[in-house]
Amino acid sequence: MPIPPTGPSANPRRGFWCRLVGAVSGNVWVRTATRPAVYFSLAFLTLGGFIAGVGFWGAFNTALEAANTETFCIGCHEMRDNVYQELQGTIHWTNPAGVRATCPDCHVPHPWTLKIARKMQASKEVWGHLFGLIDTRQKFLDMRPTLAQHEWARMTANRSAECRNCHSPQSMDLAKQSPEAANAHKTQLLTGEKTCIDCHKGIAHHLPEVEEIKGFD
Amino acid sequence: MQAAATEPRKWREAITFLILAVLIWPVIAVAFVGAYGLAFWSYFMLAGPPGPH
Repeated sequence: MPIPPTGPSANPRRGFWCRLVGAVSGNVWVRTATRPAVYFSLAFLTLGGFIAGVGFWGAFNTALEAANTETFCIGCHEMRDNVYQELQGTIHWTNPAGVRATCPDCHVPHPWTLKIARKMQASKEVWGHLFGLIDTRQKFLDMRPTLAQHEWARMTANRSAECRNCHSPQSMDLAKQSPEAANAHKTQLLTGEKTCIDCHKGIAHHLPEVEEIKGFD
Repeated sequence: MQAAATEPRKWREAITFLILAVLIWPVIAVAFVGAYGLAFWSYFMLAGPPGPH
């Protein structure tokens, strides 16, 4: 049976792109994929697509959740040996109520779009890990002012959104706070003049050891 | 006659379906979400970190 001439050899005098398109569209798999199904019903194909979609959705969210755990975060020694060690011993690690904050609670935005944007931003961290940008304690200490300022700028801009996932100014019992704290919260937090991060820097990790840091007053 | 010659075999159609359903479309979906996140990250780098939401 005659088979229509396709593929790169069909006409060698045509241009490169023309021949490429010809080769791709002439490929038997591509032709199968781009033409109506011959053997399978629409009901079967939509069911198959539906099942594959459910599976994909579950797998995607499972992977996203797995990448949003502390175990994942401290999988790299940069996090495990530096910031994770410093967190231990702070009020966000142990406290009377036994409620713990893990890395993503504070450092990964909860709204979906911002979370995905943060996950893509983490490609920069993968780069840093691969090329050992902070693979020693000293490199980390040198980099700490920059890293801290990134987080401070982010939390200042979103008005400490991650803190507020747990802490609510309206639920604060000012009477149980020290007079200084109660006064500061009353005059600056409740008025909306300032948010958590403006005063509470260095509460979960050590502060950078430099005197002049932009954004810290 | 010619239509019969270009008609795909059943197993080829089944495998094409499987490759599309479990490989190609999922990869495109992940790439799409990645591009979405990358677009927002790029935007935040220009416009500063996102504000209250």
